[in-house]
Amino acid sequence: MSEIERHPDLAELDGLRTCEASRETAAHVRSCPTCQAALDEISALNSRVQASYALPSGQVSAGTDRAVLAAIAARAKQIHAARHRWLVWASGAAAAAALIIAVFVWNLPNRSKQADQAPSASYAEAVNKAANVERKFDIVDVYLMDRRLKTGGGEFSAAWDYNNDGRVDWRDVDALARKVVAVNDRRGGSL
Amino acid sequence: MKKIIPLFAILALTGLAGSMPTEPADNQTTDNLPAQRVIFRAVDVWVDSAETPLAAYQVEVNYDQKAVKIVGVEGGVPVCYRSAPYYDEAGKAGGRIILAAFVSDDNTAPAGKVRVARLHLQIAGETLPDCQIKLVTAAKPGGERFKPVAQISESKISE
Repeated sequence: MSEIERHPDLAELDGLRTCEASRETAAHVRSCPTCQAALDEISALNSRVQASYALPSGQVSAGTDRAVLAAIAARAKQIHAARHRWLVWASGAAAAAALIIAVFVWNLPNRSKQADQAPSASYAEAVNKAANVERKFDIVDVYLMDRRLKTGGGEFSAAWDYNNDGRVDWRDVDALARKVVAVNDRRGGSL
Repeated sequence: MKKIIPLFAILALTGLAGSMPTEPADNQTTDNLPAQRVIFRAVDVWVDSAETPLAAYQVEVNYDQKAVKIVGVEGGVPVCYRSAPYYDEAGKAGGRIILAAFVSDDNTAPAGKVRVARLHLQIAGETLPDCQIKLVTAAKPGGERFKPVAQISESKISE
């Protein structure tokens, strides 16, 4: 008896299918139901692989196609849900912004009226505006600055620190007045 | 040695003579004005604000720079404008000077026709050339701008 005492491994079984196995292996498989069943399973698997290779290029099986389409559908559903959430958020934000702008615009006339009723406040704004905006000024601006300094009418912006000494005081008033009367600028001084 | 001492004496006398002040010639003038007779006059700068207190003013005076040089800028009559106004030194000889001042206390702002400044002029010639004045701006106490009348006239204290 030349039969092998052990079951052949998968490589030897596959070799039997392709006529590459030894005689001992073939004899064992013929007499062994377990190995015969394994050989049948390998053959069936091989047939399915061969069948898949036989499909035209670029095509997939119907099962694979369904699985892929199902996955795509699930992903599309996720994306749609996320986009919907973003649209809801953006719409809310836009509505809030529009409301804020509307309230601001509606309040503008009221603000002007308040400024007229409070000369010191409107003056403070005017002074700082004059300092921040490049424009010609005259002795009245200097007078107002001096008056505001003496009455403690609020803080001056850094632009009024004309002599750059880190503070706004009478020295800046004096420097601005001298700038006002400078004759090398026919239109008066400017900040 | 006897010859050297007189030589030193001559040199010393010559040096002293050179350092002594001399009288200018009749037709010589100071600065760069034309060589002709020079007179000095004063002109008053007025601002007439009628019944409105004058808290700040700025005027511009134009003059003939060839004939006139401003040799002094003086303040006005009201206490608040008694100090010389702000002006630019360059304006004393360039044909145009800007004068500006403001009150330090609104309660002292004067009303009516107010002499706010006086200019002392050095004039090359016999008569005072025409000077023009222009109001640049003025303000009431509080800063509201208004338009008083600015005037210039020869001062009565002129020589």
